[in-house]
Amino acid sequence: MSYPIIICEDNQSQLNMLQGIVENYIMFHGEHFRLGLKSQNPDEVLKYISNYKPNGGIYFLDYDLSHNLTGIDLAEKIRASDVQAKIIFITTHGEVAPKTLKRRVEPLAFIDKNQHFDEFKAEIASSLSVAQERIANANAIQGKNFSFKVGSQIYNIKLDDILFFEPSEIPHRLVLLTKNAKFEFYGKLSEVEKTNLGLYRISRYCIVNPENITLIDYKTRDVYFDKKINRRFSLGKGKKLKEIIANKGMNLDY
Amino acid sequence: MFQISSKVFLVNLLTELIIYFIFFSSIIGKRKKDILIRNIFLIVLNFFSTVLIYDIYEFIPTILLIISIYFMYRESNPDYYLMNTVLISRIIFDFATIAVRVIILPFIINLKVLNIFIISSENMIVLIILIVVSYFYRKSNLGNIISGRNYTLSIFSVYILIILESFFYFGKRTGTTNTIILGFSIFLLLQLIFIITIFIIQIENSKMRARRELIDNQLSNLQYYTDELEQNQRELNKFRHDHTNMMLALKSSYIDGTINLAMIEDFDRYSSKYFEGEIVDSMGDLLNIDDPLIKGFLFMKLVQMKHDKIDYEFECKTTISKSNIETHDMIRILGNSIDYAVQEITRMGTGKVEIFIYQNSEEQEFLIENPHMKNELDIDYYIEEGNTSRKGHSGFGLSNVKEISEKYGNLFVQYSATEKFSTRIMIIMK
Repeated sequence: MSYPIIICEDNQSQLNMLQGIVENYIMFHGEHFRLGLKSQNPDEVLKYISNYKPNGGIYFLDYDLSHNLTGIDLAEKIRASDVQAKIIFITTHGEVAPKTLKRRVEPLAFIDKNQHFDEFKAEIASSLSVAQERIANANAIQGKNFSFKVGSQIYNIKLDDILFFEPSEIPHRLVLLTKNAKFEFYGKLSEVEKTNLGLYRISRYCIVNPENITLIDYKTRDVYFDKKINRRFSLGKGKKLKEIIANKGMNLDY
Repeated sequence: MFQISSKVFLVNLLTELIIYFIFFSSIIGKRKKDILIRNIFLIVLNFFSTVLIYDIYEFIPTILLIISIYFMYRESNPDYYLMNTVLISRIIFDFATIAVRVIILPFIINLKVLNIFIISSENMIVLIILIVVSYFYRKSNLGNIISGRNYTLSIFSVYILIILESFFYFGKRTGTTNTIILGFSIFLLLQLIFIITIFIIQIENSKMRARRELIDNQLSNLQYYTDELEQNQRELNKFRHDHTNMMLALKSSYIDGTINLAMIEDFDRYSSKYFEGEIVDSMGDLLNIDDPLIKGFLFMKLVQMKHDKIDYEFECKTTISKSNIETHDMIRILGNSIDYAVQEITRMGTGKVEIFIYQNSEEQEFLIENPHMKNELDIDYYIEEGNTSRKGHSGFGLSNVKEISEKYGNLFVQYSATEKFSTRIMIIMK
């Protein structure tokens, strides 16, 4: 399967230059890529995604398209249609607000058009490599994430990072503790249980990821995730915990 | 005065303890320690203590009950939330007991001895009342009012409890419990109205104090604004003067034919230096914030960082409207998060504070990031009260953020510690 590359740049000579660089990359590295569309007009890009509904396309967009649609507007429409899109902005230094842009459309990269040609070419190639890597990773970890939403933000947390879920002090909310982060979102432990990710409910108040348990103390009925984090399991859950840990080939008796 | 047999007394004592602990467990909320095992232990402890010492001094079992629960469930020092919950639960329990006795008194007034059936019925009605109270207690989120470091509430609660226990004590000693119960209930109600009025006045006073503090802060922020604007105006005047001279020089050189690239590059460098001023850029972004108090506060923080030579980045390209979060609380949350970031930068001696503010149709987001030294301590450890990566520092800041965020159902605070430590404050707008 090959992923389409779409280029949208209002300046004809820059558009041709970008096309040349991309086609050169595809010739040497990109059996996974093909040039889907090059255009000066963002409306043609919208027509393309409406007709072909690409999934995981790579989009090189000029920031300023000399059109009533700006690069960001176009990127938002692309993102709405192609959720896995890899968006790369071609910009003039200083014209972007990087964090705001990232928040709105999650671009893969910003590439400064005013730099030396060789550096410009190298950055295009580098962004295509990164896009390729991310596509490969996305395929590998399909279904191994826990997702939740806060406002319009969707969080995809890798299962490997999850330690446990427990109710928050605020009603109807859950706390998710991972190896490096702490999240809160509206949800129920019963819904987490149904996700079928290999998580285990150790008590009324806690669902754990057994893969990240480092120690089990059967006397105090505590499971440890590192020296400082532990949670209590209920009477009767110890036996099942032992089974789960044994099946995973871990030896955590204390 | 009614009489009961020893057997009925013991059954009643045990039943009352069980009912009380059911009620207490339903309103205390989630605790880190195992509630069921501890409750069983406390019931047994208090049962035998009461049996042994009740005849010596009737106050002692209540005092012992409160102390034993406090030490068994304590999670911080002092744990005001626990203390207030214990006292209030005991007060509500005593009230329920008195209310039930007042209700059934007309039906049992002619009896001399109360049998197990009557005592059990009384306890059943008390239990039902407490279940209903517990439901409304949790629904109205009364726990949040109690969760503040509110020692005033503790004092008022102790006062009410002393009155209640005094009633039980004197009533039993003089054998006039049934006679005075109605009059006492009215007296108690009046006391309660008085206490609640004082409490409300106290809350209003502290709100007024907070408002005054905000106004003082606003005035001080205004001072910062004025000073900085005056400085900017002076720099602009100087730039205007220099710019005019340089343009004149360039024009003459062009006419003379002596103009060269170096002169133009000098002019470009001089102009760029003026426009690269961080405060100029930040002030531009601050204009997007609608709430003048938050705008002023952030401006002050940026100026402080500039004066303390703390490197920072500030971006706010979308309009930030006023939300339902009280300005006072929002300022505390932002202040604590920024202060934590600044502390870390100061400690590490390098890095910058990154502040990003954004709003779309669904939410507002305030993101504060700073570099940090990865270590083995977990996120929970940092944000619990009293913990910090620094020795000799109270680490109080982020626990305040946690406390405030628990007041609002649409406020979320997410933490992450990977290459950077980030505090992400999200306010859901709808």
